Amino acid sequence: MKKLLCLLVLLSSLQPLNNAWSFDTSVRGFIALDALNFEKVSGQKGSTVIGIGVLDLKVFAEQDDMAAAIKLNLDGKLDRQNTLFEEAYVTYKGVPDFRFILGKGIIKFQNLHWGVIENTYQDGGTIIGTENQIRKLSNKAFVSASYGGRSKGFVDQFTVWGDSTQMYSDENGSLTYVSTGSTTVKTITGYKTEEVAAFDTAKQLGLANKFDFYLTDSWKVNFGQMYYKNRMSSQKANYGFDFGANYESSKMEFWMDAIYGFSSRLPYDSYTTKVKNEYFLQLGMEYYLNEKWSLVENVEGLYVKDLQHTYTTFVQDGVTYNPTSFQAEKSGSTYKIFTYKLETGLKYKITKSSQVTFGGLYEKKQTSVNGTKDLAFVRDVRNANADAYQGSASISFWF
Amino acid sequence: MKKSVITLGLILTLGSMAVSCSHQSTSETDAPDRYVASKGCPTKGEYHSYFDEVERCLEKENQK
Repeated sequence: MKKLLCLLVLLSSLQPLNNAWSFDTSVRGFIALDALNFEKVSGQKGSTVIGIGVLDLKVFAEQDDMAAAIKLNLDGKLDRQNTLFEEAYVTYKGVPDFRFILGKGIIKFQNLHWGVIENTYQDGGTIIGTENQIRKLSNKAFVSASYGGRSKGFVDQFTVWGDSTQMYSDENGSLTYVSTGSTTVKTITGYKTEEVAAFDTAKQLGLANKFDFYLTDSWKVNFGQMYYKNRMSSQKANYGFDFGANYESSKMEFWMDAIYGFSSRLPYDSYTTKVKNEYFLQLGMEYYLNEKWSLVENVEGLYVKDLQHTYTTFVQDGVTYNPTSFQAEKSGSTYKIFTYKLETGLKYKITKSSQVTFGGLYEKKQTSVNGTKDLAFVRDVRNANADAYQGSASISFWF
Repeated sequence: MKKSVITLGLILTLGSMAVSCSHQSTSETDAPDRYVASKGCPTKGEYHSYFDEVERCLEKENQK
């Protein structure tokens, strides 16, 4: 700590004096406080949650053709340093209509939109839990180029990206298991991974594209694609397609997002799946009743068909690997999971940049395993057949 | 040793800040308003698009 302080003090002192205040900066933020939030999942005790729902802070700095931005996700788990900085990137704008961006942040391909009292399923907005693999891609290392602007009628952004975690390989290029047991008989619980600051395209490659098309002053549509290949595995690449639309006028706002996604992961990877197909749809609207009040509605549905890997005993390098009881339980099964949520609420504008939202949410999940429905418990599916509701009053403030 | 490095660092920091501040003009014509760039930008927005809108707006205002 003392060393860090010394370094900070010395670095501050060494700054050229004429550059000390020479660039334009702006700090913007958003905070949502859960003033009163009651959640209840069937079969479980209801609970009241009071505290910070969302707290984001973003610093923008501009000088000549360069710009930098750092976004702090302060509501994240602060014990993990890497999650504190959700975004940190530099933009070069020296070529007209082009922007080149390098750094860490969110990979854009979806039409993400907050619901009424909860976030979208694409960004973890669920009480009951969802099984979608294709989600908001954040905390990724990336380089991107975009062309266009509102005046041109479109913007296209193409991104090459990688995950902050890579699988660890030994000197022979083989993946290393995390296992338990004796020296000759073991069970595998995962793969050894390493956290990296920059991704290696020989080990992984992510691509994404988002095309925003401004049809009129009120209508905007977008088409997005994402692709990710873990080159250290023989599994197929993951990919997703997105179509979104937004409408905005003085009377109302409408939003829509539809996604198809395919994913496949190694047998002992976290959130593993052999083949997962998923379909997502979100529809929502905000109707302005008068200057102070507005009515908000949001509906989301998610269908996931998930084929599990088959787990059997095998021998490798003289070691016998047995499946765990959990792995054996779901081996070769096909899960079909349908989750949906309905939200309704009223927003009251306190000032130009703050509001109170009163709302309710109902959510339901139905899971079948190999065609069998209404099971009380399904391995690795949280609240497999359950419903939930939530009532909330929250205060949002932009600054 | 550590104490003297920290003391020296603090003196240098405070000194450079004092010199920097003394070179700032207080007259309205000479001193640019550092916050003017964001005055006309959105003060409210949808959670996922708010910062993007602000960023685009800041960029536009800086180009003017």
